[in-house]
Amino acid sequence: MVDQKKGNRPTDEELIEKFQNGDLYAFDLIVKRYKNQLLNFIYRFLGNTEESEDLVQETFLRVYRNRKAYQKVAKFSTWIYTIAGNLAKTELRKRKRRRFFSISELGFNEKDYDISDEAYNPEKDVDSRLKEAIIHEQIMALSPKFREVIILRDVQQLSYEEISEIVNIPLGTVKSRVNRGRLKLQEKLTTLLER
Amino acid sequence: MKTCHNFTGLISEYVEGNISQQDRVDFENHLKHCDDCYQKMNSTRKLHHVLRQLPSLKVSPDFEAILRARIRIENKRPLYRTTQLLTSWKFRIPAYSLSAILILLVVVLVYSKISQQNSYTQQAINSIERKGGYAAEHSATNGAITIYSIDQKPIKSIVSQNRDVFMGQPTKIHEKTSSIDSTRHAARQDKRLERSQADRYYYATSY
Repeated sequence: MVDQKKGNRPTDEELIEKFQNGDLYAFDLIVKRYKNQLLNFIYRFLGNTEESEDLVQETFLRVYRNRKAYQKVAKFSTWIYTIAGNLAKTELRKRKRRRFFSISELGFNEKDYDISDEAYNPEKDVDSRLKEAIIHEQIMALSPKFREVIILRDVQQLSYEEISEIVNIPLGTVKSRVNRGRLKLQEKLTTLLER
Repeated sequence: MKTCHNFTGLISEYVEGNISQQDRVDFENHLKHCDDCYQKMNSTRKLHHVLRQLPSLKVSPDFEAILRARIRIENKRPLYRTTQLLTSWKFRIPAYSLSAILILLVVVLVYSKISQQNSYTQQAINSIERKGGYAAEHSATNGAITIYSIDQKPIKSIVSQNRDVFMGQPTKIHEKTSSIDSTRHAARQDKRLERSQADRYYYATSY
């Protein structure tokens, strides 16, 4: 996780405390640390990069506005992921109400994003992009309760304890939900996983 | 004897290496004989690896600039400051207290006016009874006052339409007098009725 103190690197909790005391540079550092993590989390949840980036902006705005609401008893990472997760779920509910559907949500027609690839190989690139699109599509096909824990555990690599706090469900439920989510996902991706 | 169903719940823990020693031994023994569980475990292991290798997206280059601009706008926005003020407890506590006091005042005022109105009505009835020599009945439902003659026949029904009575200014009553047909004939014959009518108007303007 990003909040482990390495050398002189301040922890997340130290940064938010500085920010609470008016240090805007600390807020900038928080943004730098979490912007891509949150984008990946929300994107895997919603499936649309533009909307996801807007929600990441909104997450940081909420952190900015409600900085005084954060209390040291909770880890900063769980607090910010909870905000982002709630925004993503609200967006999902809005979509359901609007009965919104777009082919771009399937992930095939996304705007380009920057993926670092030192050994560029066009054939391999197409194959891996296709593979990624299929996996992404199947993640999106999971119900939100499974999708959320799978993203947090397998994509974001958060601990079960952190997920339990973010999703606000008991630890045992998180574990069984992750297990069931993985089984559902691997059933749908059997062909791809057997390659 | 544990079945596949029992071991399915352990697949993730096994793949992640978070399984207890005893469960690990049991599960591995089971895998030797169960192709289905072995396939599931193998696929989960691959999936776990694949999900961790998913490409990481990066925000657009102007992300932070846009965020800073949004924060600047929000700081300047008076509505945001007003909202902040309105939602702060420094504002809420006096606001709630003032609201409670105002509600209490309104309740006391309304109650006192109702009591006052009842008192005026009672006074009117008493006056009619005392001075006119007739019985009077006050209806609680529509506020009408019905005057009865000595022989228990209703003579007149008086319906007050003037809100001033309720508001505590009963100096003048605009009343609607509805004649009651059954008593009209009797009233005409009884000369005392004229006196009662005169009394009624007199009392109506006097309390």
